[in-house]
Amino acid sequence: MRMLQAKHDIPKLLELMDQDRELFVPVRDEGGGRFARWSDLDLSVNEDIENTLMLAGEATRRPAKDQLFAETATLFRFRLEQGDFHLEEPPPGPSPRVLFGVRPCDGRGFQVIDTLLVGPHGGDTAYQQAREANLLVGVGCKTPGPDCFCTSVGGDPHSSDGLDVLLTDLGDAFLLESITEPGRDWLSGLQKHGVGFLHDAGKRDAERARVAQHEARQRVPRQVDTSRLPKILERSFNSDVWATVAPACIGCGACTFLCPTCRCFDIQDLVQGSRGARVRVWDSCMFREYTQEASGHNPRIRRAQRWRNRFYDKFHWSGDGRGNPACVGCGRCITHCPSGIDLVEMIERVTSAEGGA
Amino acid sequence: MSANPYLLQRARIDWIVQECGGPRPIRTYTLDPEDSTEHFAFEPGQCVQLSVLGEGESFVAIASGPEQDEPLQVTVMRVGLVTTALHELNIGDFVGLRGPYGNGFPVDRWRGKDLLLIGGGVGQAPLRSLLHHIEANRSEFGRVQVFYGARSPEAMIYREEFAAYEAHRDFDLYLSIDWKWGPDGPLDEDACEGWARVNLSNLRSTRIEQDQVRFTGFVPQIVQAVAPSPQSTIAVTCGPPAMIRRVVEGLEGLGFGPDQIYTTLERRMKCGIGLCGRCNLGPVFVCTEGPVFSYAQLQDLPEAFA
Ligand code: SF4
Ligand code: SF4
Repeated sequence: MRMLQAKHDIPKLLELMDQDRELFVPVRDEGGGRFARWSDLDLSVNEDIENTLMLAGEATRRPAKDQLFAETATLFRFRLEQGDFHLEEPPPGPSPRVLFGVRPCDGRGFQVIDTLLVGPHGGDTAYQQAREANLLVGVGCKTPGPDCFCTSVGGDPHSSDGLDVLLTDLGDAFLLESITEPGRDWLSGLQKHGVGFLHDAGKRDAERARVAQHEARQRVPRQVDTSRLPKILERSFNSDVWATVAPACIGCGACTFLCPTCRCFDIQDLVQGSRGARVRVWDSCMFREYTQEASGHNPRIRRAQRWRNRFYDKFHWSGDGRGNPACVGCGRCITHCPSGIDLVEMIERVTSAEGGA
Repeated sequence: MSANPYLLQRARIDWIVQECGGPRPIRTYTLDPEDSTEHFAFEPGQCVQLSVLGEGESFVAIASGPEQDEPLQVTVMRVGLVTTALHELNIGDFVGLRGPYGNGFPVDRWRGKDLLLIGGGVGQAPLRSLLHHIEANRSEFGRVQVFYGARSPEAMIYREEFAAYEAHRDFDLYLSIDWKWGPDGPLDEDACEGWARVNLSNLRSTRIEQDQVRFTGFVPQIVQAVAPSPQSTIAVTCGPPAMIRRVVEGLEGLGFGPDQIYTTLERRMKCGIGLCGRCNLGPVFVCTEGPVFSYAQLQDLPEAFA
């Protein structure tokens, strides 16, 4: 299903979206951008919206992941008694939401996390519930950000993978295309109430979208050849190349916390008086404590080992279950690394150091 | 959508045995899982997540045998926050329990074979589970040789059980305690009366009396002194990483192939169900695809020996 939406009517559309499901949108802020609840914003003027919402292709510093894989999530609650305990009834799951303005790389990131947060004993319930409750409405990147390299890892500035609806910027209007069944139902619901400003898109609009998409693809600023990585990584585990990043890396974990495909977590018990909750909180494989055993033994004691683990996990061990690596090329870990470590350069370094033999 | 995999059941502590004291005491807990109207089913070598609510969870090997008539037991050394909190609980208190997790020993493939069980310290727990299973199905296995070592006679766990094995000769038993240590290394003398030392300068030429059970020496040395044959034999070794490494080297020297040697790996665990990421050997999670691995498998896995 394809609809056309004039840009000056976007506020009306967003109001409409907020009716049945809670709406979240990407907003510019001092922190580099994040997703926020639409009803918490006070935006009436059109210009406000254009300036505040991040819809052109620049990624929010914090990926859409945060909305579904929360920094802290409750696994269950309990009550403590002397030498005993009781579990409490779980609270109701999340209510239906729309995440509007998801970057296509973030959409692909969810496909990676989908494969990682499920195991032989089932999947992470909080994530799965959030996944089901959230309709993902992506906006293609007209102007990709400075460190984007999505086209080098199987992506595209207008990839619809993992999204329910994709918007393409046509200059004066957005083309809205449903990708999934729920996306289609949602769009047709909007259409019923959006009479007057949401129009059926024609063939010509689809044509224009294809041109815009093609042009955006040419604007992805960085390219790197990842096709040989699978072979190269098979024999590079003991390469000297890993030691070359370790001196610069300060082990802050920013690259993992901001990554749309990282999902490592810790589990902690929070207790207040006799009530408690077991929560999962983000963790990072870049931290030494991550693998530190109670006995004192640590299989990844050195920073180079932890860096190598992250790299291998992105490009060799994990993936999106569709033949693509677990890195979606969003560039966040490059832009925000305080030490200026550049993943694209690192891919090149690994390839040239180990690719010859 | 699947059921919440982090939920746990209450399990009552029915009995506690203090196995040994010292700075890192070891205790065995007998547990009665509340939800299991039926038997808590598992395979030897599998693990459970034990919770002290408010403190956290600990991933521990099951120490009891899998047979119907055996109560569920775990043996826990006091090392971290959770195990310290566990050691403060009393009979009648409740812990949280989920599992069983992990792969367990491939016992079905071992039927008809001779077995070596080589354990050290608290690593003996999964081997005890295996041993109980063998005892209950004795005719299905060939010759069974059991090696177990600790720092001193007092530091040995399952002492009563070993004494019974010693008395009844159910298995070929080789118990050992560490050397006494002098300024230049181990003292070439029996560390305790009745614990005969192996020949330090030439392990293989150690004279072993018929029926001799108690030795002075490190576990890998005792294995060398006894020099078991690799013929149709599976060796299983669990214990501290340094011990495992030397045991494996020794077994290879005796002609054991990498697919004849099995071990259990320890890693820091949180979720226990392959989600949280930290216990990986490359693409493999120890909590779900381990903790039991053959040495042949480990040779192909990154950081397996790190
Ligand atoms: S963001 Fe940069 S400095 Fe921080 S852990 Fe990652 S690579 Fe190291
Ligand atoms: S590894 Fe870096 S570039 Fe790749 S998805 Fe994660 S944050 Fe983005």
